[in-house]
Amino acid sequence: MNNVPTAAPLDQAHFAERWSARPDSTEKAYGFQQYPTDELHWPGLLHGRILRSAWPHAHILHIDLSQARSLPGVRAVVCAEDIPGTNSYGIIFRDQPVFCTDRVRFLGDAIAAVAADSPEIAAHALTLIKVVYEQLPSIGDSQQALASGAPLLHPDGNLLDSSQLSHGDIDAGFAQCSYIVESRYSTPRQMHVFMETEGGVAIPEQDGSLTFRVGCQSGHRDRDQLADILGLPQQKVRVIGLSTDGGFGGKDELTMQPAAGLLALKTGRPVRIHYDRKESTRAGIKRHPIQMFARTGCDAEGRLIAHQLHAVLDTGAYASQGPAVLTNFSDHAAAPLYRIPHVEVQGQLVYTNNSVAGAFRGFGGNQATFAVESQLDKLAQAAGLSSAELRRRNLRTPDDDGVEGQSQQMPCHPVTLLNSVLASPLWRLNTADQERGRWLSGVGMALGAQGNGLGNGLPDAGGASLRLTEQGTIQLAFGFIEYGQGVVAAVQALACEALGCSAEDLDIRLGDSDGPDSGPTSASRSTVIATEALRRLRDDWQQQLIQLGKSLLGDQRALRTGAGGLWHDEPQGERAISYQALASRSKGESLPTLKTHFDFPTGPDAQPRGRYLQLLIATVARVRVDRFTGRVKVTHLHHITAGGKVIHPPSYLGQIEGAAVMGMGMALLEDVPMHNGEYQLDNLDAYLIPTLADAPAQQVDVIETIVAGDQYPVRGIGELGIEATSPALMAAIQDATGVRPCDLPARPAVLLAAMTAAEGNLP
Amino acid sequence: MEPASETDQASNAIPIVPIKPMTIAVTDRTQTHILFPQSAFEAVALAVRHQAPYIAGATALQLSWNKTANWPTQAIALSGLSELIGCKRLASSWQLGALTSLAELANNSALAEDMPLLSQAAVSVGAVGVRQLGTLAGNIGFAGDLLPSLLVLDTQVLWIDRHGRSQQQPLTQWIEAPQSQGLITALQIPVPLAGSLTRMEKLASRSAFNPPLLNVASLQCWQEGQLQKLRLAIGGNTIQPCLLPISPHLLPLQDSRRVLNTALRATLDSILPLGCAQRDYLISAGANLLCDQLSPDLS
Repeated sequence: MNNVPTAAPLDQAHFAERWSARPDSTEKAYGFQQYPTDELHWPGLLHGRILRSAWPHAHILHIDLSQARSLPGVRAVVCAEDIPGTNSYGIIFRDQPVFCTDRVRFLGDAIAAVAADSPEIAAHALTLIKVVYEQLPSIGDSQQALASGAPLLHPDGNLLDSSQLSHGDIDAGFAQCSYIVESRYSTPRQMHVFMETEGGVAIPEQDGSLTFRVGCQSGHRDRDQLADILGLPQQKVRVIGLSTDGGFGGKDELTMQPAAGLLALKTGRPVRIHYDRKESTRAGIKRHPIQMFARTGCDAEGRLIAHQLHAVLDTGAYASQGPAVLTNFSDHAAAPLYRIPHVEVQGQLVYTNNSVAGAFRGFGGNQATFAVESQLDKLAQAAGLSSAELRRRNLRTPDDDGVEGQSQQMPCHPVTLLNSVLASPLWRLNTADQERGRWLSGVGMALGAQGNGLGNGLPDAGGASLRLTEQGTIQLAFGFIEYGQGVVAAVQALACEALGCSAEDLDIRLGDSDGPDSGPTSASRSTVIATEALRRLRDDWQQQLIQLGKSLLGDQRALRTGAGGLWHDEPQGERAISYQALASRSKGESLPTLKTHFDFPTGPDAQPRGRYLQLLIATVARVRVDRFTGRVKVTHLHHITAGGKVIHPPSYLGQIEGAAVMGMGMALLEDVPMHNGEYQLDNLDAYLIPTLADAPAQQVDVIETIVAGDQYPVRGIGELGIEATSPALMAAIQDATGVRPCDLPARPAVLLAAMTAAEGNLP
Repeated sequence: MEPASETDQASNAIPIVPIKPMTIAVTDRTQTHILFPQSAFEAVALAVRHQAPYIAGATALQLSWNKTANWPTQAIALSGLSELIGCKRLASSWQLGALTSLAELANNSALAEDMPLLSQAAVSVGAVGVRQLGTLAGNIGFAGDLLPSLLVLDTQVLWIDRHGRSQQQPLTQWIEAPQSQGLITALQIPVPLAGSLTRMEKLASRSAFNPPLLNVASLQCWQEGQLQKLRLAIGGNTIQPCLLPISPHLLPLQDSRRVLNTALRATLDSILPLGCAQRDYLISAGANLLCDQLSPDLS
């Protein structure tokens, strides 16, 4: 291959020209950033609280709000009968009630809500709401849900959705295999644990409309749902998704907005609701726990022949994004990086009385990758090959279609990443001769692929607006939201490059449903949307500004857009006119205002499934395992990423490293155990996430070179870093101990038992 | 210390502040009525009268009450009682006031010089904020992280019983039969003899944050090549803290480490209750850790 792309370390030395502080970093570091839950300044602000179900599964026989309503300081108590519109919501299926009427299906179900003069009064009022339940048997796991005779949680049964992805003949394929490995895998119910829990304020306006200032991931989609719930026309509902402290998919679905909106309509006063951590745990979305069985085989030379993966996903009480997660899971479960002639993936998405599962960084893909990459390591071992060699013999190329048969655009050949792994200082570290002391070291690696966008066949539009304001600022608006991922920094960098202006010229507006609809802030799509929008707007923008400038200056010399205004387009050309002067002197003339709306990039074929824009990652992990206790310490992670051009290096770095630490949490620490629909923990005292003290030393390398002809050099990397972390960690643990954990999180007790069984009584 | 007489108790009688009657269930911290006694004896009297818990740092209590949304109607605040504060070096022991903060235990350099084990154990309790607020006696009251270390140090408990009598007894006895409404006022800990080697280790989901799954501590005192004293102790959030009945004869270690490990497993197996969560893990990890403490040179 000519011009073999190489990976460069993502650090200030290699990216000095693009390296800059995030535009929002100063105010965040100093604590000046105003978050949705800081919205306490509204005159007449009331404090809302939501009454949740007392049981995981029950009939509601009676609800008595009278005592709560009569408590001094309570301004409104609302329940289902106060909903003027539809009492349901959900991104894919609107199967979740705003307030339950006759049945509750999980402990997070809302029954009523209170608005009061203080949070304390609101909390007390909740205790005065009397609900009479008839308890029903709870469905505590997917197996129970699918058993014959299980109570039906929804009219169409407990199987919400199923997927089948296959090609070839799986039985014939396995018959040709020289080596076959099979194993069960499971992944946990992980929480997003955003620093700012769900919250915001609903504000009634004088014209009867309602404005929401909230933490969310799609102002437009939320507006559509809220208008239906509140019985208002869409133009009477405005959702402003403020810069919020973390989303990761957990604010994709509506949270407190319906209750706050109903209370605000009822009282005519602003109502603020902010979940505490316990309520967030109880009602919030989680990552799907998945039970998997995988079987994979290769021939004598290590060429993959057949791969089968069956999975059951516990989606909890309501659908949320479950069906879309199942689709993405299935794509990843089909081993998208490898050529396999015979593949069968089956998935079942099952309702239970557990916490609702939905969107979460990785969107089902990383759970599948954990199983697939683990299978490959086991198969390599069985076939007597190194894990790298087995992969090398089976990798797809950029010319191959995706697992759904869709055309796809890989940024580079995956072997480039594999070569980088082999060159990694971590990978080359020899752990074979270590002394069998207390701490055992090991190294592992895994590969991963991640697509951008919601996926072929789904409505996935984006848009933006661009205008020169009367004050002479360049106002660039998108519908997506800054929730810590650094999209403001990316938009700023992209806009400066595309429009030729400086950061100081820009007024970036995000997340307002009265602005352009850019689609949801999910699926790593915002940077792609921003790039494409600016590509579409750039030429018209420059043309209009230059035309306006020439007209005002009465000078036909060539101009170009630049920092602070229009410049003479000649060597050592000076600034001809500032943007402020352009705006102020163009009296009577309309200032340039542009809009664009387009579909997220998909391939040239009509294949309605799969994702076109692909990204690649390889993660190398080094761990130390305590031979006495089974505890695991992750010391190093080295990621090689092919995620297109790096727009804002610190944000890219933050996304990859942050996602990897989140993946570490899933692999080693995090789970919300449930028993018959009851949470076994309710707070962060028992639910542990990795802290800074746990975070390993990380290195991120990037391959920016893309395959010739790729029209989309910029990708979104918000989910890429989590993709390969858990299989790389489990491979490293195996390297250290000889034990390969297949159930996440890998618990010290399980690991120690397996190590003890392998070694005999320790030490 | 002699037990207090009935007369002492009478002389310590104090007026009881009238308590506002509570008409609703106490589901929130703001509804708990806090009583501030002027002395330790008054604290005991109030606790007995109102069946109220003592609070000092309340780091563990608040969590527990918050979790169950079941707060006490009244609670007895000890934080203003100066008689419960302070660390004193006596001739051959330390007297540590019940309200000594965990941070003080961790940072007192003179104490650390005499008993590094205690400083190490204190550092392993909670996060920094918890150590600032949390107290020595509070940690004992909650079967906390310090107990195995205190046990191997032969700690004595000084306390006031529900009748207002001052008492003193070994920590082992206090643990076996904790006294309702009894108030710990101080601990007295003999300084370990020269030649003593002490170690402890905490095993928790996150060591310096969570309550311990398992805490192990050991004290060995060697003089002229002879083991004079051996103490091993365990504790944990589901384990009654106790000293292990291990024979010092195991320690000369003519046998291999594996033999010691096996003996420790057998001991733990005989002590841990059958229904104890993660029992097998605790036995296995506990034996490994204790074995390591007793024969680190073989690791």
